[in-house]
Amino acid sequence: MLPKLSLKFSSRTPAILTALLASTVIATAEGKLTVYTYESFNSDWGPGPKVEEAFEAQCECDLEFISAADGVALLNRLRLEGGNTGADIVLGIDTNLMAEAAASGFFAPHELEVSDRYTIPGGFIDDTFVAFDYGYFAVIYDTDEIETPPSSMAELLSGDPEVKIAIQDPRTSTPGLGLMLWLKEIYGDDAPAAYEKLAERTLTVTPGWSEAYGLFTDGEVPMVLSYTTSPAYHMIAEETDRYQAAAFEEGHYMQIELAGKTTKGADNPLAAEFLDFVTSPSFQSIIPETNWMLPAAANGVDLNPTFDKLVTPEKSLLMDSEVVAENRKEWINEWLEASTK
Amino acid sequence: MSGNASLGLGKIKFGNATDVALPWPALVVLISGLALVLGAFIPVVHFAAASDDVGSSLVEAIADPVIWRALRFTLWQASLSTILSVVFAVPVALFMHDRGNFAGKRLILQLFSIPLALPQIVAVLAIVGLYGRNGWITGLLQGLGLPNFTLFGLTGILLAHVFFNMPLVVRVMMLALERQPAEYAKIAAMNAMPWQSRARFLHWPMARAACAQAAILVFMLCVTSFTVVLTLGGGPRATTLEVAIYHALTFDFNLARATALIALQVTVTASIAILISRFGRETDTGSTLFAPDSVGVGGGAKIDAFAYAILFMPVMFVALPFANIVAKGVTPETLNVLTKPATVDALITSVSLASCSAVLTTLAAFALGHGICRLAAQRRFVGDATIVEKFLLNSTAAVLVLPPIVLAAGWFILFRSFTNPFQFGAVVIVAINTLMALPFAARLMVPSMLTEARRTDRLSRQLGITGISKLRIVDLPLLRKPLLAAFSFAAALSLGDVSVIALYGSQDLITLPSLILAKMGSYRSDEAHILAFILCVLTAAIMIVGDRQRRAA
Repeated sequence: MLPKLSLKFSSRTPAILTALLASTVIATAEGKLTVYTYESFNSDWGPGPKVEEAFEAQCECDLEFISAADGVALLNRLRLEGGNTGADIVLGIDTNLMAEAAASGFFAPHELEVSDRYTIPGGFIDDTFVAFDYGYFAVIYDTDEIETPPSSMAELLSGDPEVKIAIQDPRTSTPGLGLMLWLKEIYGDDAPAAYEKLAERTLTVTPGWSEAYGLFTDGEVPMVLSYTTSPAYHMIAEETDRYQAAAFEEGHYMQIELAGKTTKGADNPLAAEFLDFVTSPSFQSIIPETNWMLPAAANGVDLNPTFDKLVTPEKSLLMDSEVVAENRKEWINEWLEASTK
Repeated sequence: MSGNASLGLGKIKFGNATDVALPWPALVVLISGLALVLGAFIPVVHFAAASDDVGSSLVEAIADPVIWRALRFTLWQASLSTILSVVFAVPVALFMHDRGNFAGKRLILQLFSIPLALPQIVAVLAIVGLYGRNGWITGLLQGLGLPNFTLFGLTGILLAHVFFNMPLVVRVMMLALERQPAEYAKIAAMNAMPWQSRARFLHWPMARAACAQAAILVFMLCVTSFTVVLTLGGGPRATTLEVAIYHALTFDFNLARATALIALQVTVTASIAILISRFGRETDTGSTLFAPDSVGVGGGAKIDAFAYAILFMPVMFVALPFANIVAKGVTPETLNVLTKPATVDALITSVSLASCSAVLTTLAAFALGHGICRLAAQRRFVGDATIVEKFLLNSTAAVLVLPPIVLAAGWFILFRSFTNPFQFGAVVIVAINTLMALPFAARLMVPSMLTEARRTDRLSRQLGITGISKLRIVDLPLLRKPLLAAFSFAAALSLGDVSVIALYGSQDLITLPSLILAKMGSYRSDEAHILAFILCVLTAAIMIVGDRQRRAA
């Protein structure tokens, strides 16, 4: 029985590989739009398949997603391709990378009047990028273990060092970078002291969001850095109120996710059509319960009432993308210095 | 016990042995490996040179205290991890060999082949589930009134590294020990040698070289450890050079700095690897009788109980994280997840890619081993291995400290200048996985190949059995065991790979581990647990099938 099975596999191998090779060939025929995005966007449970279906019905064209690991990997793929890209659209760069992405010269202006569609607090105006969703970083806590969560960043920093939090490394992960900027925005030049205090409450600093969140849901740590929208997943998909976000008085740091057309996409009329579609209700209604972020243009979106239960920050914090690009290296060294004391 | 002298075989003129240069198969492997590495690095350096100078980046990196701190911790944790893995592995391997075939031995060896195939995040969470705050073991220790220990920190890093690597050292040593001539066991029994003497005079000399080579592999794996060190290390104090390389490659996209850091990493680890390799002198078994079955020497019920008691802890140490994975992965949903089209696709892709890499790896390791044997024949298998022989074996390990993602990026840059790189996704994944699995396969095969060459080459030549006939009649039957071990190991390693796919993945090229990571990255940890369980079962199946065919033959 077993040898038979292995024979079957080996005789199928060449055919499978040929199929794999053939299917990754990107045709440059008309009526085709290639979108680079991050992996979880294009997973079978993510927004990708639904977006593809909705847009293809509208444009009568072929939409193809190609995925990179995350937003940083997306931009790096463009850099490796050195302008000779296969992508018409890049979807999934965030505000922290916006300045660098714009400076790379791989993107063309969108030339759309979309800024009045946004319902993002503080609004969003940019010539190159279109916003498709946003969210806030937040400390998520386990209600089984913590009765009164910290109500401010100051309380988090000065709280019981025996009650731990799992955070991410700003050198390797977007939420980690977000937390560092959040502290920097609140404390300015006093940020190193804040990093030091936070280090005392930190169980561990993981390379990515997945490890930290895995430790949290496995019950190893009662608090984790994630998004205000994380509880929505647990409430809607798992029907549990156990994990909640702590609202912080100082406000929450924001992340806006963006899409832009490449200089190659500028020649493809479908690219402009897609960017317009991204801010339309049909795209926006797909986002909340597949990408677990807030829609950037919520008008006309029938939002699941569970989202009303989420923490809505009184103040949203966001640093200018240029400032981040200029200072990131120095600030990361400062963080490293303070957290290794 | 030198059969050479007593049988006078050492003086037989060995064809035109003195004319033998490095045979072409080994040369092909060497050149392809080199081309694969250079083909990646030249474009990367060229690309980097457009914006920055690698030389000045190297100077800058060497002057950076952050880099020095990272390097110091890297070497410290890697040395400790290697020492601990070897210290725990040596008694286990010597003991298992000494006991001959006992019930459960094959099961243990199969179990010991799985850890390296696990994506690190899966293993890390499984280990936390045992030794963490709410872990089974922690609960047990608390129940016994023992003091708590904190997993996060150096403890956690060492624990995870020993879990990954101790089994590897055992496997490599066991294959070397199985070459031990049957006469040894008989003589030991006739002389009623106690176990201490058997371990010291019979087994250790056979396993010494393999142990040193395994230690080199372990050291290199620990130097480049990333997820384990960051997640279990407890904070940025625990960091490796690999983290700095990753940072330079991703957020900074500073290829010059990344290349400089890789150069630093390769130099430092290569020097230490050379140091370790000095300890591993091969042992000449001479021309002993052909009966290399592992016949246990010790015996008796009392000793059996003793054996199981000694093996209990290490086996539990490796088995329990899997028990945790099974406990999380076997749910009413398991069958549903298994039959999902996405899972089936990922399974087929993973198995196809892994079997291609495994076949190539085994062929390449065989070719390398063939070259090493020829060179050893030139010195008539007498004396120490020459520098060229050592280089052939150890150069393959050097690739372990090159981040696969840099190799992938280099080929990406090269391909995109004339075609669409995604077309070659599968090819690049197979090639790089082959390169990464080669050091393991070579270490599993070369010791046995040397022993067999020493035993059969001269006679085969005298009888005029050469080329394909020698391969078919002599080599393949004798080397079936190490060949299959190398094949299964290479397949398992490629199955677990997640690094190259990160750059070449598209909606058509999703492997099982990349699916696990994607599920973990979007709240679906329940499904990720099930997929991790499926990956474990798949790897175990490969090991068992390899084993079964071997026994049938």
